[in-house]
Amino acid sequence: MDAKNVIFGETGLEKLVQMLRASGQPQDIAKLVERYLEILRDMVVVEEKR
Amino acid sequence: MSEKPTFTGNAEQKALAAQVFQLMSSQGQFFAADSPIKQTLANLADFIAVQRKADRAKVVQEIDAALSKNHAVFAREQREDDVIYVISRLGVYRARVEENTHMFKNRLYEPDNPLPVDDISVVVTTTRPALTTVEPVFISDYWQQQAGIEPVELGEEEQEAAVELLDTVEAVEAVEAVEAVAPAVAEPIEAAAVESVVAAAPVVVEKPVPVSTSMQNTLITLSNGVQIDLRRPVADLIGQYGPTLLAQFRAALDNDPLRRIVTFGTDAFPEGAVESFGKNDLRRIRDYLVETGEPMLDSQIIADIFYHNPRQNDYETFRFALDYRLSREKDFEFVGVDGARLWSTKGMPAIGTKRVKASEMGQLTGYLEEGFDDSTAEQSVESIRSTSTLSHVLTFFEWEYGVLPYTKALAALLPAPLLPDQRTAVLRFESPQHYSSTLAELRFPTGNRGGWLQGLEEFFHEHLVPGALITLSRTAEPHILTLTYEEQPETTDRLLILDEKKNKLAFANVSYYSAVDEDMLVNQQQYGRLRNLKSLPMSDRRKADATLEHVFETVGEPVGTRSEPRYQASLGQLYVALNVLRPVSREYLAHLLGDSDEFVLDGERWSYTPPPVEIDETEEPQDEDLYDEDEE
Repeated sequence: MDAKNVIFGETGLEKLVQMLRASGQPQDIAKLVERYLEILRDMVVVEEKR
Repeated sequence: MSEKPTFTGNAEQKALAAQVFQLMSSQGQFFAADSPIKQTLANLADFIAVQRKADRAKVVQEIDAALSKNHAVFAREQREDDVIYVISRLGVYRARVEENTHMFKNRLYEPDNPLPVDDISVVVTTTRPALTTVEPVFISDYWQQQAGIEPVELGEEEQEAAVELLDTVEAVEAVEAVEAVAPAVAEPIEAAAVESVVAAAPVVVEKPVPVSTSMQNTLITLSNGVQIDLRRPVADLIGQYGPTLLAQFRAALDNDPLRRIVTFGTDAFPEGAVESFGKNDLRRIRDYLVETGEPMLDSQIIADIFYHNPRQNDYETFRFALDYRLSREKDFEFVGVDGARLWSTKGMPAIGTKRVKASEMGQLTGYLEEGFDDSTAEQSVESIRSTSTLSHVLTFFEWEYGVLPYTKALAALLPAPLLPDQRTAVLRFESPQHYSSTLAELRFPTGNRGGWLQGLEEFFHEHLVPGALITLSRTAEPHILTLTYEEQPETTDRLLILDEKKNKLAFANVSYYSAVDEDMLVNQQQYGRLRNLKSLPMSDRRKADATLEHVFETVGEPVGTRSEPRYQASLGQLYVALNVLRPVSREYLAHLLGDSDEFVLDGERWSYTPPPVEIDETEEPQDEDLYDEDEE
């Protein structure tokens, strides 16, 4: 995915919601930001390599 | 569809070339007009030799000679031991070039003659959405470059030059990649690039330029313009942009029209998985709070009303749901802190004095927000945080109304608000010396209004006097603190008190058992003139300069004449006296004194000359002893 199309806080949020729902417990928002960056990174960097 | 190309050579060669062209065109008659049509020399020779019944080897030579004469039409490729000719139905084959400059998208975003852009917002047309949310608007690179938001992309040569200048690991890697791909052309480009480096240098120094296409594609731009390279480790990004990312992420969640993830404090959870509470549940919680008469912890509410056990798997989820749902209800107010989520509701008894309105108190402590907070001069913030204790000498105003201004020192000791729009927090102060506890309400500063802690009136009046040294300490519970003071044998003195019925200040015999700062003790011996101080209404006390003038006239030593009055007082006297009517710091007092020409520093004392007052001759002469009223 082209990083130009990434809107921080919107792109990939569904994946984060799924992850959060699967965890079953409220998570600290700072940890959530880290996890969200990893999701964006996967979408942009890893998919680009493919 | 297409005209036959013109062939060259002698007549035989022309005819042969035309025949081959027709053969190959027939072969690719269903191809696209510009698609390549390929045929080998061997196949052509086989076909024509059979048709002409001629020697194949001779035909091969004739075809090769004829087509070589017409190399403009027949592209020749040597592949191993065979030759391939390539044409298209249009004649010569040319590789297809994507031509999309005419497309509407390109014309819209990259016009030929753009107008200058001073403000990027003029490019964006905002429309009123159905939902009142700010929708992200795509702004093309072109307009971002025009507005100076995005760095201008350099050409290939400039990029290589820029790469050499960038002394970073990434840059070095990029150079290696470029060299690996095109080692043969590296030297000429480098030579040419040296000149462009000079021109490109300022750009590179000011802002790191994306080195390669792949690097640009991993750069995301936050709404505040900060660009983040997702190739960097997450820990690095958090280390550098942590607060920005957190703020942007919170804002994005708050602005999400679908509210997919909701937050309470530092916790977040999908909205769809958050349990709802009915009206009946909310009524039961409200009744419970009103009945107990003081704010209660969420865990207490869960245990007493919903009988949820902390050992249950969904306990934390339920607790989050309760906190989140209550925060959305206007009848409930969050008054807790991180680690102690307390809830209050309408109809509960007020905490603290009613003699000073919140709006007045906010203005009285406004000097703290104006930067006149010197509370950390004697005890630093680090010291308060490390020792978890704060010592403070009570002023008359603080003692009288049970209020402590929310100074930097107090802020360092007390917990911070958990929610961004939180106005108050309820804290409990325990007195280990008296086995009692008091609820106090902490009002956080808002805008230019200061904050304060209220509700300690009863404890102060019962055990302390103005000038007493108190110590506030944290406990293991974030919302519980201890309030202690140093005890001493009984002392009796004539101290300043406020007669509520007469609304007058007076001195009365008071016995106390706490250690005091003698300079701050407002007794008759030191501050006898204060009995003449008017207990101004709170609305007047907000005007610090006018209050100071009144205080100076009262507490100051008269050194002028009856017609030209003049007063003198030390900074310490004025500090104690002004703190009778309103809270003030030494720094703010010095600012007030220095701000007016009527106050002049004479050595170590300040003098005050009131502005001349026009005497109305028709008015009856006032009592002669007014000027000397303070004399005992």
